[in-house]
Formats: sequence, structure tokens, C-alpha cells
Amino acid sequence: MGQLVSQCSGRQQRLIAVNEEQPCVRVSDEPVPANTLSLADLPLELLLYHILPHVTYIDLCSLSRVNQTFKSLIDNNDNLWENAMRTEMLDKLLLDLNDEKQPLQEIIPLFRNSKDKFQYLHVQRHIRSWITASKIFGCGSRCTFCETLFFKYITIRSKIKTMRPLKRNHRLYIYFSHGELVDNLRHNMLDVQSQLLVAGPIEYFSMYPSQSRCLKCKSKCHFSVDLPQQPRPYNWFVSYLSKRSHSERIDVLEVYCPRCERYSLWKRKTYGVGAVFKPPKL
Amino acid sequence: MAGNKIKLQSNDGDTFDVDVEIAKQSATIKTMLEDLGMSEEDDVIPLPNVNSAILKKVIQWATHHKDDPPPPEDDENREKNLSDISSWDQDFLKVDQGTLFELILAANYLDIKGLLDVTCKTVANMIKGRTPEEIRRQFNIKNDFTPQEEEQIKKENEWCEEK
Repeated sequence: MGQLVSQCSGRQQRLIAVNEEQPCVRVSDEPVPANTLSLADLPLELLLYHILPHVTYIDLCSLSRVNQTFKSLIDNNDNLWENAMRTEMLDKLLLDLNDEKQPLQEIIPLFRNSKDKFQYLHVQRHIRSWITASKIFGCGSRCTFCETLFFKYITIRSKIKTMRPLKRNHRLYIYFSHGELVDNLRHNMLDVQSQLLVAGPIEYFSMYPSQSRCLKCKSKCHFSVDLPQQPRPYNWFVSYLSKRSHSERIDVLEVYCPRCERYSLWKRKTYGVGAVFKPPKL
Repeated sequence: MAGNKIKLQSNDGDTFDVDVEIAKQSATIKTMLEDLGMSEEDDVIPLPNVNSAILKKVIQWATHHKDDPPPPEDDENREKNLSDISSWDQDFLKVDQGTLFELILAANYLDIKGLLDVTCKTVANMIKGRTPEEIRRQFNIKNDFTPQEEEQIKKENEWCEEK
């Protein structure tokens, strides 16, 4: 079993760990008697509105490979995939892509259904690390997808309220982008606290439970010390609201949430009250 | 009939005396009692879609949850919170698959949102993280794809295997 787990990807290992620590009903793998009511016997409305909305897009893909009925049911149901776009926050990327020179509307007719659109956005999120933000901020600059996310979700209060984001007198560090440490890390050196957060013991993540909040499930999540590895951020940006080190700081991380069982944005405000978080409208 | 009790009759003829407030967790029964003018003095309420074994389980669940607050109307954020099944409900739902699906159908027919929610989440948990073959074996579903179709569909879905 341990060998099998070690062959899994990081996400799969986390899922296994979460499943092991959350007792849930598991039915044995013994064949089910033929006359027993089964999943395929349930009315479609129960599947579509009460069961399938609870599973992830990965599970939807697995189910669509089970048989012809499930393939037709899942691939052709736009609501399921629109819902998956919202939970994976891909609808935000859709807005970003619409700001580009080639609007997505020109591409949309190519999509056979919402599953295709989900697939397109899912892939785009991996390959498009740079997007034009000039239309959004009017500053004529380019910034990363992380910066775009940051400026969409962060509002700076008080005296710097009216300043454009990139002209503010504060520093923005981007540590992780799309699961990787950013290329220009030498300019964005992790401070001590961030080093502990990303490379320290798991307990460090739980040291500030009141300051870490998953924005999807709205709960203060506690990472279990039993998790096999430190959860790594997928996207992570940190802003100091002045040039001084250790000044007011706000973190926005996209990190795995064991409660939601998906990657989601977290706010982690460490110092000061000068910044407020504007949650995404889901 | 006792003052605050009603009789529920399963499709195999068994009757159960149940507190009205417990029975009213079922929106279907509540509607029968309130909107259709049925009273506690009326004869038994027939439930033709539920057998006695399942009705007994439903009453057991409703009795345990009689003091729960009404479930929220807003379903926006409930879709991924699969871990919020109470330990009592987890133990209650340690049943064979047939019973679990019968409970889902009964909860749907009786319109008991809390029971429907927790049973469907349990099924979702059984699906989660499994490969197509494991799902087939788990739920006794026949694979009706040809080998060529299966290979094609596998390729089509390769993109979603890892974030």
C-alpha cells in the first residue's frame, strides 16, 4: 500500500491522506448482487442535482468513462461544468482572457459544450503565465496572472486608496506561480516568515489559525500534522504596504484546502490593518 | 390515536406511530397534514414508495435529528463540503449499497432535505478519487464501451488527470 501511495502524484497523496483521516462510508469491493439497487438505477435528477455537484471535475471525468449513459449524462450537462468552472475559479480566468486582443467570444463557438470550455480554460491556466493587464489597470504595464488576481482581490484603504496599483509605494512579491517558485526569485527573496511557511514544519501553517481563512468554504482550516507533506501553494503573492520590511503585509495563497478538497484562495494577513480582502464573487 | 402522534404505513402494510413534529421533517408529510387538511385524527398516512425496513431507518434518522435547525436554503457553497457528515450519520449510513440507495429514494420521495443531502454526500464520497474501473466494480455497472471507444475516451480525458 505504501509503495502504491508513493507512486501517486502529490495531489493524489493528499487526497489519500485526507480520506484516511476522514472516516466515511466505504463499501467493500465485493461484487454487488445483481438485484441490488445501484447508482445507475437512480433517477437522473438525483444524480444531476444531488450527487454529481458534490464531486470534483476529476471525478466527473472518471465517471464519464464508466459507460455510455454516464458519458452522455456528464459530457452534455453544461450546469455541471459551469459549476466546476466556478469552484475551480476558472471563470475569473475567462474574464482575464476576455480582456485580451482576441476575445474569447471568437473561440467560444468552437466549444461543443461546457466541458470543452472547462478543458480549454484549465489548460490555458497552465500555459498562460503572462497576460496583458493594461486594460484593467490603465498603467500600460504587463503583470502576471498572480498580480492580476492580487489586484482584483485586494483593496488598499486610507491615503493610498486612489493610487493606481502599480504606482503605489508598496512592494509586491510573487513567490509561487502555477505551482512553481517564480523565475526571478533572486529579486523576490523569501523573507524568514515565508521561508518557514513554505519550507518549515507543518505545524507552522497551523500557528495562525485565526489569520488563515479559506475563501471557498469560509472556514478557518487547520492542516493536520498527519498530512504526509507540507501543503505547497499553487499561487502565492505577498504585499508589503510600504517599503519597510516587516511592515503591514498581506498574503494571498492558493493552496490545497482539505475541507473543500480542492485548491482555493486563502487570505493570510499577518500584520496591520491597512489592507482588506475583497472576496471573489462566486 | 395519541394526541401528537400520527401513523405512517409502509408499502408492505406495517404501521409506525411517529411524533407529528418528527414526521414533519418530511415536507411531503407536512404538506399532507397542513395543506391538504389531513389531521392527526385521520387514519394512517400511506407511503406506497417506502418499505417498512427503510421507513424504520428514516424514522430513526428523523428522530435523532428532530432538534436540528432547518437546513439552509442557500445551496451555493455546499457542493464540495463532503467532510461535514456527523459521526452519528456516518455510523447510521454504514449499510449495504442497496439500503443506501433505497434511503436516497425514500428521502427524495418524502422530501427530507437533510437526509437526502447526507446520503448523496456519502455516495459522492464513494465515487471520489476512484478510477472508472473501480467505479464500475464499486457500483456493479457494466462497461458498454468497445475497446476502441474506451481508448478514445481515455485520450479525450487525459487533460484532467492532474492539476
